[in-house]
Amino acid sequence: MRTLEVLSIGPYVSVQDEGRPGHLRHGVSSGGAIDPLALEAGRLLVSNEHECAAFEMLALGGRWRAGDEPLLMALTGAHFPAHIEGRPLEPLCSFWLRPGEILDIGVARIGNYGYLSIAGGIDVPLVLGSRSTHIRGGFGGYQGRLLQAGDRLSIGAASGAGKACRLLLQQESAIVEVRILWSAQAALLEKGERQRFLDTPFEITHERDRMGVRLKSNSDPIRLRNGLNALSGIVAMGDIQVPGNGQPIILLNDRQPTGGYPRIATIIGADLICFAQLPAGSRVKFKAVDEQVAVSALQKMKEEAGSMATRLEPVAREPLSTHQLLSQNLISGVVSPKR
Amino acid sequence: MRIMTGQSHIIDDAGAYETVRLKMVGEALLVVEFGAQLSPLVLGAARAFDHLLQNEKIPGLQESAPTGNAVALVFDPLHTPPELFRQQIRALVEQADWFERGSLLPSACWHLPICYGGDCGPDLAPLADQLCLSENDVIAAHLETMQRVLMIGFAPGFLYTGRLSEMFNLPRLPDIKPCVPAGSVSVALGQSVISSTAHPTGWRVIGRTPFRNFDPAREPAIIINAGDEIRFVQIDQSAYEDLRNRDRHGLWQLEKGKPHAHA
Repeated sequence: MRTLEVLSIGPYVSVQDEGRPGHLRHGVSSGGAIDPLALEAGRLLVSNEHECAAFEMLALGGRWRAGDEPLLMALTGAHFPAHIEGRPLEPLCSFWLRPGEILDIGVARIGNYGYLSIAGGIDVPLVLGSRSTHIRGGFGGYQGRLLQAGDRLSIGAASGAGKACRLLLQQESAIVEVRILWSAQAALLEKGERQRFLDTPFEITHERDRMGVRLKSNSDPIRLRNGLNALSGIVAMGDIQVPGNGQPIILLNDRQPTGGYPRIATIIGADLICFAQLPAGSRVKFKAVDEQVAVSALQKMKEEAGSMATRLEPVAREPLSTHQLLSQNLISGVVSPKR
Repeated sequence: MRIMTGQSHIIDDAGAYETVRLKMVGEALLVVEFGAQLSPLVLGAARAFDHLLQNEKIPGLQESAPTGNAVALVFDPLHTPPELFRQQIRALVEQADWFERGSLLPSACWHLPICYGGDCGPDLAPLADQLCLSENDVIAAHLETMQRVLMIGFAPGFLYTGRLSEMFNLPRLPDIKPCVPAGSVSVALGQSVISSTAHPTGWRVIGRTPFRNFDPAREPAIIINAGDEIRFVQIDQSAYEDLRNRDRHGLWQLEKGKPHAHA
């Protein structure tokens, strides 16, 4: 049996794939991996099909033990230090977990969301066309919930060549300026507040999950007119919601699909992944751009993602020594296209 | 039908816009807004336009969802640039009088069992006290109104229905309850909400239905849709338990009624 047993686990680890689009009309937001580029990198490293799901870990990993069959795996996204029985693992490089061996994934050092991909994918049923866990709704993924110690997951049959490889990705410097498009509700901002919103440095807080992330600033809260009387409307990924306390919340994949709080702007698709990976304590400023800029940036990101497969190269079977590992640049956790 | 993207004035007390508004959200979402209020006229127009979108192949369109006074359109801006996408949608909006078409759409009527008060509806007694009425008076008022599904949103299968009589035009509670059970029926703002999953709420929970509008293990996963009518039918706690136990998935047949003529 191809299985993987969870020995201990971080508080926010779930099964995720490319998401569940097409069900907005039924109140189901698309969900899926918060960092789809990292999911894609992991998929390529273990030669999986697009419909295969991976584990998404927020901030903390866990300990997994392989069953009776060896498993080819890859760790991508946020940089999590990891080792197998004391052998450290190189990021963006697939590796084998042999029967009975224990994989130990620690605390994220750079970024928030990491992905553990396994050749063959995690064998959980498709629900409304996806294996992603809808945590609030209690469906999809593994029993509709976050992973717990003691869970034993079956792993699908591997379709690929079963060879370890490395992904050569360019390093992304952490963004400090996040591009946005104003929305119609920006009209609710009181005079001068648009500019003040753009001039204010915001700090990313620890309050985050798959629904959203809360920001804070030392300046006075952003002021809105009649903000609480708006009809509920559709909520987009990356929407910047301003609740009564004036401190913005950025809405992510598992957002509620409709909402009544004012949403003054939306982070452009090309910047949202990088933004989601910025760790607590990072400071950002928003920059208003036009639609053309947003679409060109998205195009560029898609091209970069499309060319990822050309950057795979085979690796020797033996893992790197600690000495070799220390000589490598490990700051490659946040997988994202260069700006 | 004229369209504009800026300010517009409202032509009637049903809250319908004389001109339909198009609003972008980010680079991949277009909202087509038919009015400022959740009147039957505006709801009908949004549903009718959504109906067209579902039945026509529109370049770039990935999915659409009616949200009460509007329809949200998710599209791929790399396939169809936003300006071109808006042009297409403008042309479609101009094709017909959606307010008129909306009045012709058929809709189903559902009889929904509900157990009021007690553990199922802990806010019923305080609400009755606040209104200086008996619990039965509040229940009677909630039962007598035909409620139309305004939209599905917030959570899977989560129904917003209205409009209720004036006594239910209440503000949200000051404290949000972190979690109320699936099936909770809550009131505020002249509307009811009916949940299919456990959820946080600032609304007053007055009852619970054994029915789950969303169940991913059922085909179809959603039974009641935007535009449908709902009439609540009161059941007691033992009938509630009986219906829940009969089938965990709520697969028992909901009773269908005869829909009202549209406004």
